Amino acid sequence: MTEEALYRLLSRVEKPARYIGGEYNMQVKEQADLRFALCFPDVYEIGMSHLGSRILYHVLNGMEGVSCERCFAPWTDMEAALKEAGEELFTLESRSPLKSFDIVGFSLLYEMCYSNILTMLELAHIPFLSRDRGEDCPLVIAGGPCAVNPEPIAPFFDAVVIGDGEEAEPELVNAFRAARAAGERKAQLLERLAAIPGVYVPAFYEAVYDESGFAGVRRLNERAPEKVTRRILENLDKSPFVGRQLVPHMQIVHDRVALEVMRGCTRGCRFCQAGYIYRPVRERSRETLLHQAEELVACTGYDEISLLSLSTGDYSHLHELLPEIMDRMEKKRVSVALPSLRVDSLLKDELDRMQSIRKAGLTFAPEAGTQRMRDVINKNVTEEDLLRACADAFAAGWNGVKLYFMIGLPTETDEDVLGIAELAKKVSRLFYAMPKEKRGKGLRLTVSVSTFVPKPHTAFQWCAQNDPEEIRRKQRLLVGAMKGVRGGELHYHPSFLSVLEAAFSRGDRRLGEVLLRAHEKGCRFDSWSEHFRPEAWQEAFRECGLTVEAYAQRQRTLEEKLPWGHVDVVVTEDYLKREYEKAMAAATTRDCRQGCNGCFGRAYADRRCFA
Amino acid sequence: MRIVAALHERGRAAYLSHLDMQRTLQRALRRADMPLLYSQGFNPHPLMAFAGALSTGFESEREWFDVRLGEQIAPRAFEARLNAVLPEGMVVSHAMAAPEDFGTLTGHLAAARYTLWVRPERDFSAAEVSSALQKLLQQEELMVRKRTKSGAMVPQNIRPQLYEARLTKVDGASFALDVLGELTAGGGLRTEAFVNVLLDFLGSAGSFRCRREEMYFEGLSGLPSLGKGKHE
Repeated sequence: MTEEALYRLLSRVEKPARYIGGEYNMQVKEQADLRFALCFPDVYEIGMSHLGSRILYHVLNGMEGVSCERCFAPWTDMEAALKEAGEELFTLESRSPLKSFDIVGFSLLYEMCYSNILTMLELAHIPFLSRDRGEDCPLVIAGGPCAVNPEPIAPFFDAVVIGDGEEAEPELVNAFRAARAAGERKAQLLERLAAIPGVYVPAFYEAVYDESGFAGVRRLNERAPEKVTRRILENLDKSPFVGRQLVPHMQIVHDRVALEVMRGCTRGCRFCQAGYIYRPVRERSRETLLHQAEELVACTGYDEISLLSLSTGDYSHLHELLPEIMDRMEKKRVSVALPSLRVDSLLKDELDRMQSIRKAGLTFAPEAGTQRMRDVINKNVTEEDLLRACADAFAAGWNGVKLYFMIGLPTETDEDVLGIAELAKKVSRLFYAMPKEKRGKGLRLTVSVSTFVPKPHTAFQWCAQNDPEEIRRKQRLLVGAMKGVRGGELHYHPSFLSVLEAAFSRGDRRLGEVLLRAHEKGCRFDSWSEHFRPEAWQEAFRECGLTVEAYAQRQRTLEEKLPWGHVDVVVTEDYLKREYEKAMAAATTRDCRQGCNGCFGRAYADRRCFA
Repeated sequence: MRIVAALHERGRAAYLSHLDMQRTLQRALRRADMPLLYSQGFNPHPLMAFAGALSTGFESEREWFDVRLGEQIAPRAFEARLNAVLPEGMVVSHAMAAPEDFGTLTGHLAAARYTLWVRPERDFSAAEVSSALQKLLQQEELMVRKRTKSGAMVPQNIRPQLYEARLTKVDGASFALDVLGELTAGGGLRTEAFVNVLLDFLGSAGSFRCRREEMYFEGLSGLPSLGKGKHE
């Protein structure tokens, strides 16, 4: 696309900065024998906040002869402008059409972005289905956390990278080059890709169905592995990070330096997919982090740095790292933020110094309202922990606390739901029991309640989701119970989006057809309430002879075959079954840091999570 | 010390909003390791301000800004260090040390000169555009409708804010104008309103692009000014 053509489009859309590129630290490589379009199926402000994409951008552009450019889902105004002008979807770096790239790769962060993948392919004039794409089409691939159940989107992709991409993506790129040098056709290229550990080639597998539904996967090509094993980056400390982090012009969701302190989490919360699919825990050394923090701040000019991980409070050297990094950053007027806080009073001194937290208020995620329920989900936090942390915070002058919960969890009773309000009441009383002159102005206690979505590769992967009627009943119950909580404010959401998310997170290949039909009916940006069209989705399911309820609300038996059964995320199914049984008995499992729980099974028994 | 300088914004950089531009310049100043001074209070920010806000989509030859520094830096060194870390499409020039009692840029802003490229829906000859422009300039009132903050449409006469306008180029489907108009902290000539009035005189609709060529100040020595009394 010419600059002139771009400017004509820009004059017709809101937030044109989404489409201009040219940000500081953008990489433009004129000389490249392989061009990779890194696509994110949501708008710029969300896609640019994704750490994984930033890492891949750095890794791929770091390869000799490889050029990696970015493309985000255009908002509906830009989509209309592109169609009207007869222009194709383009990358930000060189304004080239997606179709001109060798490889087009999508990040899969959230199931409710799947419809945007189809919008982007359509705007790029690239056929949706892998089998319809000939030799002249780019190789279309995907990766990211949702790839652990690739089945609902399997028909659209030539290959899917499962697990860490830092090493797998360069191997895939080199396999592509080798196939091209040898003059191979797509079928042979796919065989090369299937040989790379962690790479799933959907065309080499076929789903089998019987009268009860999904009945297993048949392998169609001997060169593809029986099971695709998740790729694990062994040494995070020595691995590439984001390099010179891009500095967006417009404000993005996570607008700060992102410093990944560790990958993985040892807590073992049974609902949490990330907790299972990023094992084992791998930490960066304190020296590496201090060095990277200074480098990133210097090359971006950001005034805030976030210490990212699933549970930064668990980082082994946090108590040495935090004061040191805060000292160094204070000199440069950079504030330090911890995105995920545990109920941990040991950090009190450092918390006092964290301005960003002071601004935003403290956030805790007890996830459930009663101890029994917290034991079921293995959220090893007690009421005493939470109240002590809140008391500390109130004493230090805070008056804003956010509490995150879920409803619809397996085995949940009304008592558990009401327990959420009970807990909120205790926090509120704690605040108002303090002498007036010692506490902050007025309590702002936000209770945010989301609907539980069962996820594949978790201890709850067999569980039914509550139907929307039941969720609404529980929400009403909670609304009533929260009325008497002084300073409390309840946040909850309509539930059909969670139903759809549950269907797609545990769906099989038949959902590919549903997606195609939903796309035809205009579904896009489903996670944006102004665009979400539940009735169109219902219709799309119906036309395929399926129902969203059957996917979301059916309790699976522990014996049945699961659509993601041919994906080995290294945590064994036996372990998940043991965790499921323990959950049903409300028995907890210790944190892996207190001793190995044997989740990897015999095949990986020699893997040591803690060196 | 205070440094006053001009930021040149071309190409895609034109599509940044005023807030984006402030953020981008602040981060560039930090990357250049400038000894910035910060405001006091709960949420300190660097002491830096643009003379005016530039509409999203407008280019600018010179957007004047000023910044306070805790150490002395030679204006040429300031430019060099900043230009080394600015994104594509942005260049700093005309840096000068300003005395501490120098007034605020915003408070002394008076006028601005623009180049407007207008693309009407049908072609016009140079003579047609010239004659329409002359007719327009002879009017004592040029009434347009302006949207207020509350969303209501109110009539507004833009003739007093329009100082000069001349046709500089006719190039097939589009023509270029050189326009001088009022620009102050409280408002000034809205180029979009002016273009719409001109298109009305031509009996056409169309689109336009705009570049601010210069900003003029009153009573700030060393900065461009229109000369005393010229547009009182």
